[in-house]
Amino acid sequence: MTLVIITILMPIIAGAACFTLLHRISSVPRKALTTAIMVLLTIFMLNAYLHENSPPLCFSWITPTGDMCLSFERPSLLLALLSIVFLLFTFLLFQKHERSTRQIGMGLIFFSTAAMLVALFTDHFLLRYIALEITGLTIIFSTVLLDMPLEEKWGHTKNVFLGLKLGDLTLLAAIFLMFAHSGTMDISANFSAALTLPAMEVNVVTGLLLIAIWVKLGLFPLSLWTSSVSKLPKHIRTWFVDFCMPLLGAYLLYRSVPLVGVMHSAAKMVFMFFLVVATAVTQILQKKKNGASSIKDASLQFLSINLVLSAFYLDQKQFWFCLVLWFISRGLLVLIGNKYEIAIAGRQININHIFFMVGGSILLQLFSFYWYLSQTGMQSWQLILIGSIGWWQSFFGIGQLRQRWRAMAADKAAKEHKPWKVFSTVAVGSIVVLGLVWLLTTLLVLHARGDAYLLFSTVPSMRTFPIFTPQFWIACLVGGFCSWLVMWTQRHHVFQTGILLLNKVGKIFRMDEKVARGDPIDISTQTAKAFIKLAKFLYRSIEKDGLTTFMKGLKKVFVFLFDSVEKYISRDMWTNVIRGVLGSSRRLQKAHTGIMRLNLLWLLVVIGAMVVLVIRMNGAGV
Amino acid sequence: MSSPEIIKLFVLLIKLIGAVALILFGKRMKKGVRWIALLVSMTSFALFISYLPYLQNGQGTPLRLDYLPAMGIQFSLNIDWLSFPFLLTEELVTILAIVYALDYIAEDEGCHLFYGLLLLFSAGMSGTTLANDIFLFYFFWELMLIASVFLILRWGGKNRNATALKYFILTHLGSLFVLVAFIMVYTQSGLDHFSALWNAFQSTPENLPLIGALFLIGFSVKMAVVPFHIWLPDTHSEAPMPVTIMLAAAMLSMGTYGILRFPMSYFTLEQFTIFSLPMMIVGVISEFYGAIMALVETDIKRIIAYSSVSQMGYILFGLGTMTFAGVVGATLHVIYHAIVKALLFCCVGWIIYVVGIRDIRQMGGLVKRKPLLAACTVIGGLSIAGVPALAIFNSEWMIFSSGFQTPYTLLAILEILGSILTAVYILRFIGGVFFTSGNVGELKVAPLSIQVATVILSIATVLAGLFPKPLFNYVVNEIPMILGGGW
Repeated sequence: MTLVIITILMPIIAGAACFTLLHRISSVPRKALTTAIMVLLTIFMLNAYLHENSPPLCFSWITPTGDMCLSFERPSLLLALLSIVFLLFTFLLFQKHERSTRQIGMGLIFFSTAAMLVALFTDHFLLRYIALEITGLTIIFSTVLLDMPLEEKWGHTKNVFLGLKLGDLTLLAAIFLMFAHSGTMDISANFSAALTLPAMEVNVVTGLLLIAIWVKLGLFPLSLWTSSVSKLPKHIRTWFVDFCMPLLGAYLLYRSVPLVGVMHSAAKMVFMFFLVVATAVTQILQKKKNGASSIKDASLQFLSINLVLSAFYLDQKQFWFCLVLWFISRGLLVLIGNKYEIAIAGRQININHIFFMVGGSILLQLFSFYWYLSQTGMQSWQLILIGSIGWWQSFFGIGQLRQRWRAMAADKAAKEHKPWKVFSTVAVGSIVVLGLVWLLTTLLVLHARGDAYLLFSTVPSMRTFPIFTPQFWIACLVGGFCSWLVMWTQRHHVFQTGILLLNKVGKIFRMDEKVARGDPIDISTQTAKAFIKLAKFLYRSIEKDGLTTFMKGLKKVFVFLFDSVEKYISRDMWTNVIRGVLGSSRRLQKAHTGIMRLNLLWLLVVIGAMVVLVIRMNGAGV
Repeated sequence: MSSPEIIKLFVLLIKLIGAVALILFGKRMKKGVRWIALLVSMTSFALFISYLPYLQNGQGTPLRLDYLPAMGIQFSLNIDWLSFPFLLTEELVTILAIVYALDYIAEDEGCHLFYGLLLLFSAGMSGTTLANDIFLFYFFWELMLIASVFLILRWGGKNRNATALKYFILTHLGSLFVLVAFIMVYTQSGLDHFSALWNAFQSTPENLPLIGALFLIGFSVKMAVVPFHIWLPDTHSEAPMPVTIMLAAAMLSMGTYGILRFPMSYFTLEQFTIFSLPMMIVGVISEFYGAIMALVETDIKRIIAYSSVSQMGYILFGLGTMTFAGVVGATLHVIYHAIVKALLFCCVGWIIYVVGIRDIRQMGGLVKRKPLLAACTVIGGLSIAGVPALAIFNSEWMIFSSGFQTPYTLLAILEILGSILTAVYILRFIGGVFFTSGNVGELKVAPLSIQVATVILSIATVLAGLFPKPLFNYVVNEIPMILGGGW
């Protein structure tokens, strides 16, 4: 039995065991067993990673698709390994705090893990599609675990199903567009063949792929499914929404990078601009009370946006680096954010530590992105987009500051910290976390790429990496300084006084929404005000009312079609025709009681017409 | 007569004899009639399966008996790779429908007539696929119509008379188009068996567009694609459930068989090209229209009936692409659709039986009270929504992929995106019946036969999805016979 089979089978067996056996044993051995399975899986993956030459598993499913193979490749294996490690940590994090680690949930997690591994290890497009769909199915089935009334639960199930289905169908369309050209389901061959397609078709394929990726990454406005599973037990939600599905989306993006690169610049601009604006809207309208959770979600969106954006600029090899960084940053963010959410209830952790680590992870990813960006030659249209990104980031920053302010204002304990203590924690926390993560990531990536196994041999190539650039260190200092500034201004009521004064003078900075007194966002300019208005308008008109109005309109059309066309042709018209035919034939019956008794006069007319037709077609001969 | 010829004859004959015997003498047999019907259908199926080795070894020569020698008309039967998947579908659906009906009809309701006509209906379909000449084809084509009309007239719902008449007249009208095409072809050849038709078709190429159009319209009526679908929702909703199962799962496939057997077997690729785009467009329209109507409909039986209109759109689209994947996918879709549609109608029958109502707005909350029924319906629903590892996905992706092998990429994308409507209406159906709050009062316990048939079909749906290869390998053998075999 090859290692590939074992790696795939293990989570399947574990999942089946969760459904059938594990609920019969008591809590402690059950948790221990579940942990052991995950550790074992990690060991197997690690073993596979170190011994790459494991024979592939091939099987024939249906002839036109060719053989379907599963094999280990370093890039996918590394991502799989990382995801399993994150899963293990997530489980360990929540198993103490989750009131009921329900086995059905663990079973679904294991099944989705198996499907995810298949999706990562196969180079067969159809098999990958099937694996993606099955992963989606496990998420759909997980909605049974939502603790809410049946009807509400079903609403969420529908949202998840339709949300994910949209992504799957666009992916399927993209696959078949490439398949029609390449004649093979081999992913690499398909992408190579797609590059030779006419420009228009390349744009269509890439557009379809990007929509699928968008859905899987859970980016607005195709993030319907993520909000629908937000009330799942934490460990299940974390696995599905934060790790499993986004990883699959990101891996698909990694494979699609060559296509994205040759996309028409106008199409790129549309996609990127829409991505930036749409996400900014969601960030600004973030209404969650919990500051840490809000920052975590916003940061995850931000990371994903950066990843998608980097796909537009980088080649595949460079993008791979960003992908690994993205996933590690994401994992850290999620784990730390979750840890904070658990801790905040018991007041065990200082909020500042969390923010610095979260911020550090963002900086890490951000700077790697800009570093790579700086390696590419800029064109004028790219600068416009960079400008839009910067524009968005400024709002993101304002949003983050605002959240931070609220959290600090609400947290009495945080007020008591000295600002300089905050600053020093920022600097030290960022340096330590970033340094460790960077080192680990670099080694992993270089190892996966097979460039080098020892640190010293990578030093020359690492010279230009972000961690060794002055901008990186400046950014850390600036981050710390900003936090300190916020603390300082809060202590001395700088903004509050200024805002009150400004409001008294012109009332031009008053926001529509109710904000806490002294909220830093009140210092925003007319632009911010206009933007928020625009964002709210977009939200109301497109997301909220717009969708409802559109659906109502659509329903009206459907009902109209049904009432006027379908009902008419299937019932009323039929009744009228029958009545007419029967009436006319009855009248004929009265006139002639012979053959007309059959009441099928019209049938004879049709037959007659057809006979005439036949005679005509045969040159007037029967 | 050789063994293969005897088998072919008896696959058909046993059903005809069984049907006549039950109609004439069944009244005395009381409870035994239902078991005799089941035995007959299973024997026919066993005989059919026993023919498979002959087919695989290429020993399947047609059975030919002179019927009207002066007019060149024969009584000729054959099973080839083109008829095989359709015959397989009919045989299986008949068995399942009879199993479903075991407790459906009370003895005092003319039980023997019901089973007799059911067998006759099945014999009509088997005869149509077994026929190796146009005379016999048309005879059995009309026999299945007549048998099913009587079944609806006698055991249908309260609007059965109007519905049966509508069904008869409209589908008969479609048959007349086919008849005219047959007459045109027959007048050219003077012979009616299929092997003689190639020359007849090719001798007057100027007539081929008209002949093709007549065939396509005639068979499209049977397929119930838009706009020829108007008989289907009423018929499916008024017919007794076992008949609905046979209509939806087996009889609709006869239209596809007709298209494959005649225009697509006797036209070359170039000659058929003019029909490609219209077929694809009608297919997409059918898919959308059927799904949209299913979305608005409130009668659960009619929801699934409209779903058939939508699914037939997929098949017509696949055939219209004139590609290997499209034709094979469409044929596979016929089989998978039969399994899944039979399952969904079994579920609908089960729901109606236990709840006593058909309006989805008055239902809800059945998931906790009928978990097995919910599980079976979810399997059927997910399958028709094209979820992998379940039956319909295997054919659906082939049909989807075929669209991209034509110059009409936009239609192909529409076809794929339209399938999300399928997911929407099936989720509405499942949610409305099982997952919304509703007070349906006291529930009855469905007969075991209904439950058994439903569970068997659910298992078949999963197995067909997981192991598509054997069926695919059989279906792919039909390809050399289609469009001149120039693939």
